[in-house]
Formats: sequence, structure tokens, C-alpha cells
Amino acid sequence: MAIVQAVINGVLIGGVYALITTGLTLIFGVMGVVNFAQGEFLMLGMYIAYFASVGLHIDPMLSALGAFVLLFAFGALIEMGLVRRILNGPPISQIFLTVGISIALQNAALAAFGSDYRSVSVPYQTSSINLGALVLPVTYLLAFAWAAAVSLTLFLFMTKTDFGRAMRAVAVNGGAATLCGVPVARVRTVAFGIGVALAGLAGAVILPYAYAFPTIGLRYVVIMFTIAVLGGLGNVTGAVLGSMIVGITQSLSTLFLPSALQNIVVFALFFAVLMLRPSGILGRTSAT
Amino acid sequence: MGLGAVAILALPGAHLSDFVMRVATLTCVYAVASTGWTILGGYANQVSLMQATMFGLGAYTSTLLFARLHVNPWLGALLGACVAAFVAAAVGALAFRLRGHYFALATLALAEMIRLIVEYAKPITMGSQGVSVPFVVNSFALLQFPQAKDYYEIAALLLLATLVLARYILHSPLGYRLRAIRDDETAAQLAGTDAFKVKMQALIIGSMISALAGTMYAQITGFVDPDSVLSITLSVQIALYAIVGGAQTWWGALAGTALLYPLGVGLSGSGNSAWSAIERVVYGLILVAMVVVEPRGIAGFFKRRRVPLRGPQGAAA
Repeated sequence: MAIVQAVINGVLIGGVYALITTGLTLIFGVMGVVNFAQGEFLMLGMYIAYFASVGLHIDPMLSALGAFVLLFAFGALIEMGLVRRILNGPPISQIFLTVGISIALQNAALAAFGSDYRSVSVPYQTSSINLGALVLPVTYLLAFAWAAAVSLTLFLFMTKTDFGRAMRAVAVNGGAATLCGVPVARVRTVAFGIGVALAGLAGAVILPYAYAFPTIGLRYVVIMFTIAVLGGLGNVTGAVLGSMIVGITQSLSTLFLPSALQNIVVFALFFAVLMLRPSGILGRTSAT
Repeated sequence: MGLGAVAILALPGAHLSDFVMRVATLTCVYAVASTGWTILGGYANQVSLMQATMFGLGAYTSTLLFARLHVNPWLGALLGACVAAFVAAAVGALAFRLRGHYFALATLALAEMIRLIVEYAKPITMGSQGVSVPFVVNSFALLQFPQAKDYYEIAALLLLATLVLARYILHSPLGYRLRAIRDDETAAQLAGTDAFKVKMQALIIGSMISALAGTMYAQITGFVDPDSVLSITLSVQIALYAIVGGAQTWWGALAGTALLYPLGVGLSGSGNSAWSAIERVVYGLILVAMVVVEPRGIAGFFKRRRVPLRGPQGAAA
């Protein structure tokens, strides 16, 4: 039973990983940029939900939408003002542009909000649904439900709408997409905005069970990259699959290892997979 | 170059304050670490995000050997470099199967893995508490002095030796092969370069250099813990110094460190935490501006002519 419970916990956590990593991998797929500031956008989403909850008494599950919208706008502005300028630069400068953004955001949060750990109180914080011997905490369930809903919406957007198809076209071949009349610049702006917004939304939905503080992004950033590489950078389906694998692995490893070592198992798995499939489980084919 | 060397060695003659000399000494140390990164990261454009690990292995090896077994830190420095070389060989065997962004992210994961192991091995490493370097005596033989500025000459000599080596490598057959890999790895291999072997050599040399810097750091500050020497932040910092200075030159790492490290210290030195956070924001924005204005770093301002700017993962990717 402990194993079933661990797998369920892993799936619930994996759902949230999927939200953040999908954003990361979408940005990479469409722009070819590894966004090192993704963890900081998650942090901003948490603070938006925190202040919405404390100041306006809005539940994080609702303010998640607000976080999505605000961070979409913020991400789009960053793309238009900065990222666009370095797309033709060497890959090194792309990495360090987003690192610079991440340093600036982290410290801006530190200056504005201080280094305190902040959490919200919601009525369902300690409730859980019991299925026989299994315990499903409501906070994790809600976060997972959000993640599932968003992933499904994103999937439909990418496969059924013209704009989604345009995004995938840019991911496959930007030059050819331009020749076919795809507004590549606008597609990139939107893709970056959505990628950033997904991290913000994830930050809001995890707030009921996680603390918000300026450097929380660092906690997530390595795991996020591990998942993205595991699934194949730029591959959204791979990111979801990788998130589940990593969530379940972390959760299962706590059964027989001290929790301080759970990420070691994840990294070991990561290298085992890369040895067999250097471009990730699903390789890099297209943006879905 | 000779003039610059004289200037670096003559700095103590300028009778600067203890604080300035401390910053100058640590600038030398970080410049060594950053030059170590340049050998593979700059010359061959294989962005490794685990240089702090090599720095930390040097720092931890010499410090633990000295604190627990009374091994002379000079010997500890060499042993630390050897440990870094072995780890680098293992890292290369795993990570060189990957290219580009995948390589960078794999090194990030390996760095985290090693940090977790060091934090977990509490009986040996004291975990996240860190280890102090026991101060025994003020002596050159034990590489121990009362103040940071007393280390300046040694740090400066280490820096000069590193720069000479980096310059030698750049113009040696190894350097040509590394640059061939930077321009196009597949083409370099078709032309007969054993890319794996060449990258491995560069990784091992660079890691040993950074490990030596790590030992110097530990001796100067008297304390190592995972946050100060094994963090992602430090790895990024080390790579950043080289990139801002110009990663494709042998002197770029020094230029970048000399510009950014004192700037970072100056910006966070005011004590007031909210204010220093704002100053770190400025630091981040300076990096952003730097990358947007001149992606090739300081060296780019001097070498406007040399172009091959577009990497293989350019806009069309």
C-alpha cells in the first residue's frame, strides 16, 4: 500500500512539474533558448497569488488565472525587449541573458518582499480525501487538476488552432515558416509569454502547500531542466512524461532512501536514460 | 603581456587598504577559476555549468586533508587537482555524449549530484555546516597567513602561470583543435580531430586549474561549505566572468573577473540588505545589457572584425 500511495503522490507532484517544464520546453522548442529564469517566474506567480490571497482574499486557485495573465504580459514584454535581440547571438549569450534576468528578478523580490517565508491559509489546507488506506491531500489534488486542465488546453491549442500550428511550424523550421507566411516574430512573443505564464500559474497553484520566498526558483530549476532534457528539449509530450517519471521516482525513493538523497536517484535515472537515448526519451521532433 | 604582469605583481606597492587588497587577492583567485573554465567552455564553446564543483573539490580536498590528517595544504592543493581531474574524467565520459544545451544541462545535474553527495556525507565533510581550515601558524610552508592580503603574491603568481598556460594552449595544436570544435564539431571530426579526446583533455586541464583556485580560496577565507564553493550560483558566476570578458581569448576571464567581481563586492557591501538586493538587481541588469549590447564580451569591443557569431543553434533552429 505504501508503494501505491508513493506512486499517487509522485503523480500529483509530477503534474505540477509538468506545468513548469512544459513552459520551459515550449520556449526552447519555439525559440531555441534555454530559459534559466523560469524558476523566478514561478516565484513571481507565488507572490501574485500570495498578495491576492492576503490583500484581496482571493483563493490561489482563482488568482492562478491572474498570475497567468500578468506573467504572460511580462514574458511577452521581455521577449520583445530583450530575448529577440539575442536570438542570432551565440548560444552562450542566450544562456546568460536569462541568467541575468533571473538574478535581477530574484533580488528585486528580495528588495520588495524581504527574505521571509510566506504562506497563505486556505480552508482546505489540511483536508484530504481518504480512499481506503490511501490519502489524497486536497491541495495537491487541486494543483494537479489545474495542471491537467492546462495541459489539455495547451494540447488542444497547439493541435487544433491555426496559431498553435504556426507555433509548431516555427519550432520545426523558423525559416520555412516565414516563407509560408507565418508571423514568426509574433509567434515567438506569444510562445515566450505562454511559457513564462505557465510557470507563474504553477507558482500560484502550489502556494497552498508551499512557501513563497525570493530564491524558491533555485529549488525547482535543476529538477526542471532534468525533466526537460529527459523528455527531449522542445518536446511537450516528453516533458509531461518526464515530469511523471521524475515525480514518481522522487516519491518512491523516499521509501528506501533518506529524503535528502531523493534527487540523486533522479539524476542517476537521468544519466541512465541519456546513455541510452542522448536526445531524451522522445527525442526532439516537434513542439508537441 | 609583460607590462600587465608587472602591473599585477607590483600592486601591493601601491599601498592600498587591506580591504582593497583582499578584493584584489580574491579577484586573482576567481580569475584563475574562470580561466580554467575558458579552456573548454570558451575555446571549444562547450558550456559547462559545473566549474564550481571543480573549485569546490579543490577547496574540500585540501581543507579536509589538512583539518583531519594534517596534510600540508601545498600537497593538498595538488591532491585536490588530482581529485578534480578524476571527477572531470568521469564527468566527460558521461556528458560528452551530449552536445550544446544538452551538455550544459547535464553538467548542471552532475554538479547538483556532487553537491548532494557532499552534503550527505556528513561524517566526512560535515555536510552543509561546512569545514573550517584550522589556523596553525603564520607560515609560507603551510600556506597560511593572518590576512587575505598576505596571499596576494601567491594568488597573483598562480594567476600569471594560469594565463601563460591558457595562452600557450590557445596557440598549441590542442587549441586549434578546440577552436575547430567550437566552429563545427562535426566538421572537426571529419577532418580527423578526435573530438571526445580533445574535449576530455581540455576539461581535465581546466578542472585542475579551477581546483587549485579552490584551495587558494579555502586558505584565504579559512572556511568552506557547499553554499560557498559548490553552488550553481558560483558555477554560473565563474562562466559569466569569462563570457563577459570574452570567452574566446586567454585574457577574457581575467578582464571579466576584474570588472565584475569588485563590482559585485562593491554592490553588496553596504550592509543594508534591502539596499544590497537592489544593487544586485542592478548587477543582473548590467549583465543583461552587456549580453544584448555585445555578446562577445569585452573582447568583442576590441575585435569588431572577427565575426563567426551565429552558433549552430541560431534563430533558425
